[in-house]
Amino acid sequence: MQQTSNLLFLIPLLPLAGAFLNLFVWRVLAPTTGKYRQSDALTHTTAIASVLAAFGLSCYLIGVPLLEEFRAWQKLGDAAPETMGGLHQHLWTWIEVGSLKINLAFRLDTLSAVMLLVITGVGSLIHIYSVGYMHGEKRYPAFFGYLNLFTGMMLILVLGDSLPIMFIGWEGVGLCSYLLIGFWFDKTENANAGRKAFVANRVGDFAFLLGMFLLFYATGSVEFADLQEPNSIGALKEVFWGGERMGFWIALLFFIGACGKSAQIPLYVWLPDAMAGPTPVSALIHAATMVTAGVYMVVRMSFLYAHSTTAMAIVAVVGALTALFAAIMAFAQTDLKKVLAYSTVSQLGFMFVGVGVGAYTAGIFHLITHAFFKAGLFLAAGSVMHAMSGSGDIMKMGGLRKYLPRTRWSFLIYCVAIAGIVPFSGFFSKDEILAGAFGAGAEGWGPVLGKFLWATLSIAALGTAFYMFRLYFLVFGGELRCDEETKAHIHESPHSMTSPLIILAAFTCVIGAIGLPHLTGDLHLPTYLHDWLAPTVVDFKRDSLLMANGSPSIFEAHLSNGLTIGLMGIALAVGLIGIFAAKAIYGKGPSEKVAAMCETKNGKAIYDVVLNKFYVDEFYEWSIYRFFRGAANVLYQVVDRWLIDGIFINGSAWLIKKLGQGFNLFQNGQVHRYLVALVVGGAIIFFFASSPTVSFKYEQVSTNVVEFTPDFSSGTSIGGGLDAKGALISFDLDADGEPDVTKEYDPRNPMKVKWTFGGVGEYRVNMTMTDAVFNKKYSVTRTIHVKDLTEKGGAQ
Amino acid sequence: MTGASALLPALLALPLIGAILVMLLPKEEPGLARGVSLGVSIATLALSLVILGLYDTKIASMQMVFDKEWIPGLGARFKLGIDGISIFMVLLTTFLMPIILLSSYKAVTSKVREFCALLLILEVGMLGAFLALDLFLFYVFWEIMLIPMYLLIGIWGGQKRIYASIKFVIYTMAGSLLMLVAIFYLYAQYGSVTGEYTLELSLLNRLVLPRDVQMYCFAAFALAFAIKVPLFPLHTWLPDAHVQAPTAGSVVLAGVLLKFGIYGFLRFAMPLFPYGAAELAPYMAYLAAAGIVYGAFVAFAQSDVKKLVAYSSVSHLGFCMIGIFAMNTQGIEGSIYAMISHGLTTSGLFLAIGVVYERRHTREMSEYGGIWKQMPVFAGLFLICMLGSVGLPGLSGFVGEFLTIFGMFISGGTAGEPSFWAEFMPHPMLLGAVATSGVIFGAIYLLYMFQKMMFGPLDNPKNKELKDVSWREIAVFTPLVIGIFAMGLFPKPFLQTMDPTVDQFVTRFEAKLAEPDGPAHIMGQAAVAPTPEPAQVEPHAGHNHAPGEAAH
Repeated sequence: MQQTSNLLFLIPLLPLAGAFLNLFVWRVLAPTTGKYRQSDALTHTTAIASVLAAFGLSCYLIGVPLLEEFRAWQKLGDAAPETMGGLHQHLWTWIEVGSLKINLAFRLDTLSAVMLLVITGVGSLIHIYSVGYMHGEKRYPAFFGYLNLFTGMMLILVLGDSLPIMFIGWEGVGLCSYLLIGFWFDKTENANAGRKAFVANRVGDFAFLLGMFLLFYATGSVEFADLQEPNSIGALKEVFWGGERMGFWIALLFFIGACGKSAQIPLYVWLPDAMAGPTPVSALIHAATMVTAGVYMVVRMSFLYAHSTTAMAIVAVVGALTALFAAIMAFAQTDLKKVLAYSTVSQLGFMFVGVGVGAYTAGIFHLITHAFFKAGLFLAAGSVMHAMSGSGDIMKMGGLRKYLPRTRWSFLIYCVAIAGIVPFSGFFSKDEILAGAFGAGAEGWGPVLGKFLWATLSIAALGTAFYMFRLYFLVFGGELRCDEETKAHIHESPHSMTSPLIILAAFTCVIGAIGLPHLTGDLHLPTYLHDWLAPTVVDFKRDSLLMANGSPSIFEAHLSNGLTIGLMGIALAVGLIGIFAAKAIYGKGPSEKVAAMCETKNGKAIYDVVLNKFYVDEFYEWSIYRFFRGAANVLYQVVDRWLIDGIFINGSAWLIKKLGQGFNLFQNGQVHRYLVALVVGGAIIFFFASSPTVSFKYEQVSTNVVEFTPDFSSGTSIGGGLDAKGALISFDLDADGEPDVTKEYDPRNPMKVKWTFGGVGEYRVNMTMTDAVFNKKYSVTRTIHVKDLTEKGGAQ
Repeated sequence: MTGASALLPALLALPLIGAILVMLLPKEEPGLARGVSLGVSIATLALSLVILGLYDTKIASMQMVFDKEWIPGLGARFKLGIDGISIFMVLLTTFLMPIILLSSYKAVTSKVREFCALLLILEVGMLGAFLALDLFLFYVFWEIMLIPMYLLIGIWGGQKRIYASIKFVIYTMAGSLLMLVAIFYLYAQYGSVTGEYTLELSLLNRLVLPRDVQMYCFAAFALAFAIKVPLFPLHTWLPDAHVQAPTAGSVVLAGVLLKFGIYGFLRFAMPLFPYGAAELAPYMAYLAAAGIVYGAFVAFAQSDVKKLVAYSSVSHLGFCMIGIFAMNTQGIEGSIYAMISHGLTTSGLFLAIGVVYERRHTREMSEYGGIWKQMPVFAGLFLICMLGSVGLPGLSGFVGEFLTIFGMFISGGTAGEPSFWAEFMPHPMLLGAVATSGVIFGAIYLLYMFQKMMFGPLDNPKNKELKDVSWREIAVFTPLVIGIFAMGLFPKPFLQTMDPTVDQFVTRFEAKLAEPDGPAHIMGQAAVAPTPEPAQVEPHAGHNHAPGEAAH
């Protein structure tokens, strides 16, 4: 079941076109000389219109064709296929080489539909808010251009029908995040923060790419539809390396990718720094959309994760630890946006626990509710900072409830929602994750893992309620603590900024209704989101592939109504405790007791550790950045300059030069030196020439008779033949020390000396040559064997 | 010979005539020399586009072949041809040349006539080397390229230009000498096997040398090409040459000259000596992977922005090397693609550096900072080139990097079906993973460079005077930027054009690799059958040789 839609491409294209207009066309059309700036109205109208149009088109496509298909699918009941194709559009083949084929194609199914509404819906509100917030900014068109570009890329990420297309969006949003974090780049910290975000994301992308390659290696495809085929799933179940399944390694790699994008341990460090960007950016990119892309990706690949309980356990545990640690780190922050940033990291951890325990719907549900209340919190924070002349130091705020009523009330609603108080949306989504964790159990998980996750998350939830209300009371409660000048400027933000706050607050109140608790029997409540996502994400109860192959586990264990309600009660109690604790301590402004506690020896130690975020940034600074710097310098100075270039390359050049200089001495043009060289050279040659090595050969011609021949052929023979002429050769054949035969040597007629020995045996024979020129004697003595010739010839 | 075959010699003749024409112009009018040379280079580009138009993308083998007897005594022929591998190299050359000439309007003010003529002669050399189908002809063009480049660096270069230019020439020549020896050996072997002496590539490609000899010959060729690539650790001429060269020289060097390394492997070293290539492939791949990481690290240590980009080439060309030694269509096409993309993005970066250098006369990154504010249009152009180089999907750099790493990753085949290459390439996945780490390091040093120059406070008073790019400079960048986007969004037409040739390359490589070992012979005509029974030995007429007669 799959419909073709010719309009799908317009959804990402519209914001991209807006970006193109704002960044390029308007600038070219407008005169470029002088200090001209394109009109702000044109800029933001273009930007907002493009996103609103994408939102409208998304609503239409989801509300009409997709909903029809979904209804039809639902009607089939149990006979329905496991997945539903949704709307599909193939644009062009992007890359095709050999067996690798990547189509530029989009798919709108129930999962991407949810994301689409969040991105374009919340995105539109943030675009509208930016009009007021960025008013007077010099690079106004660039800001809206990047914001539009981001929206377009995010939509590509969500709509992409294959991993590489998703990756285009994935990297594209990273780029926009980089540009927008460093939007006010004249401050070096801002530029650094942007770069840090991009590099941390790239570490994740590295794993994403490897996961993609490995997936192709295993299954031969990178398209989501193909990957869910039984053949592919079978390949994923093969053991690959280290005793783990292929599916495990791929899932792990993709999860590392998700950690980069969604700021999970150990790659979360970039997100708090990313608050250097303008606040609407924090709301859109670093709260509502981009950072949730990792969660979306894991859910999109639920068919993969479902086949490795180990990978799912890793996802869940990393998520839970992130949720807890980030919540703790949020306690000591004094910057409004930094608190919210750690809160985002923590909430993303909640979502990962949701997807890690197989409660995919719960993860997406929390993603949706979080998008509303966290975007709202950021926008409200922006409104507060707008009022406070741009400062975000919560220690200098307080009592703002009087000055910023609209901001205050919406902020309170968001806080209640994130703290998990019924009936605000955060309660339902967080509760579903907690329930999922409590009930989760799988082969190889052990009996306590699910309970451990639940307990960790509950503590994190307690922390969340506490630090959010600490924030609320410090900002809006008590008395104003800022200086007079700032105080004089405090004002409620314009309507373009507060109306998005109110709309988001309204959604925060009601959006929980799409995911009411899963109760059975008479208490059964409609679970819209769960039903809506059923045809897209893996459902452990009905997925035939899981069941048929002896599925790894049954997640989503069924909890009784009593247990479900009990867990809800605990969650609610935890939220309330956190709120009241915060009220007790911070209700009237910064607590002196806490300050005093932090002054004690132990208290200060703990406070410092928390304030410095467990020194993780410092650890990275030393272990990675400094290491990289140091290694780069060592490689450059030592290996490149000194070893390769200095020793090998210039060293060999030096050697050749020196050799050349040496040879130079022989051709300096001074005749007397040539003459000296001639004489010395001649003398050397003469010396060697006159030092022949003498020897002789012998041959036994008959029994007892041996024939001797002098032999000058071996050894140093420079001129050897020449001066042997006229030399006297004498043989001592009876070993008495006296020459027995003496002859003058003639090379043209080599002499032969015959001698008769006494019989078979060994004899010592000496030959002496007396040189004709120098009258020098050369002598050689050899032992010869005289044999019985009837047995064997004695020739040598 | 059809009419189309005259196109390739015309492509060489055009810039050559242009160079002569430029030299005949009056010395006092540099503007005329610039205009004429730009016109000639654009005409050459137009002609190369005509060639692209007539090129049949379904044919794998050489097209538009031009074949004339040249030095009959030697058996060298003037043979030119174009296929799916060389066509993009030719286009890259003709595409970059007008950009280079246009970019030098302000930068080069002395000896303009000579400068323009040398660039055109360089174009002849480069095009000739890409088109040559005769080893001797190739060698001649290969050496011809050196001279204009030597002069470009030596005359119009920076302070240490003499050192850099001599280093460049000696490095390259020293490398190619062993290749010349191997060419002679090949020539003699072919002669002794067939009785006919030739240097024509298509004939020599059919000669199968004994396996051990193939290793030596491949190594000799590989040395020449690896220096050109440059493959780590033979790269140290590159930073010096780049830093000292004028912008035009850097662009030619990075844009085209480096590509001869990879091209040489694909066109000559690998098809001629497949067994040698296969045996040495792991080492080449290790060095390439090491070079990717090493180049990135060393680039990060630079304070001179031009040197940084020079080292980035070491890293980027490492991807190309990884790709060709993956020995599958994905890897090789990725490698070619990465070469073209590198030609666009790195040229863009060098041109961008040239833009600020012309204004400030320094390449120290610490001298800059915050100049985005002062030069927003320039910043946008620079950003696009930088991101293309980082390998952002949707821009040209990604496709090449993706395909090369992908190719290496699956070079041992996929889970179900191992490939013939699995036997020769150990740990392809590990190599792929190391290469992939380049995406992190690439982002680190390029973003660092960009931030140092463009972001931060505009605190250097000299930078407050900077003027944004002129229309001429925008015209220089526009084709590059369009190219970067087009290649990133629509890679398929490019890949499709390469497909048949690269497929054939891999098939032929595999077939020649499977030839039995033994004395030198023509493919499919092994003198001695691989089976030991003497009864089955049936020497082919004219090609039978006793073992040891052919092998030295």
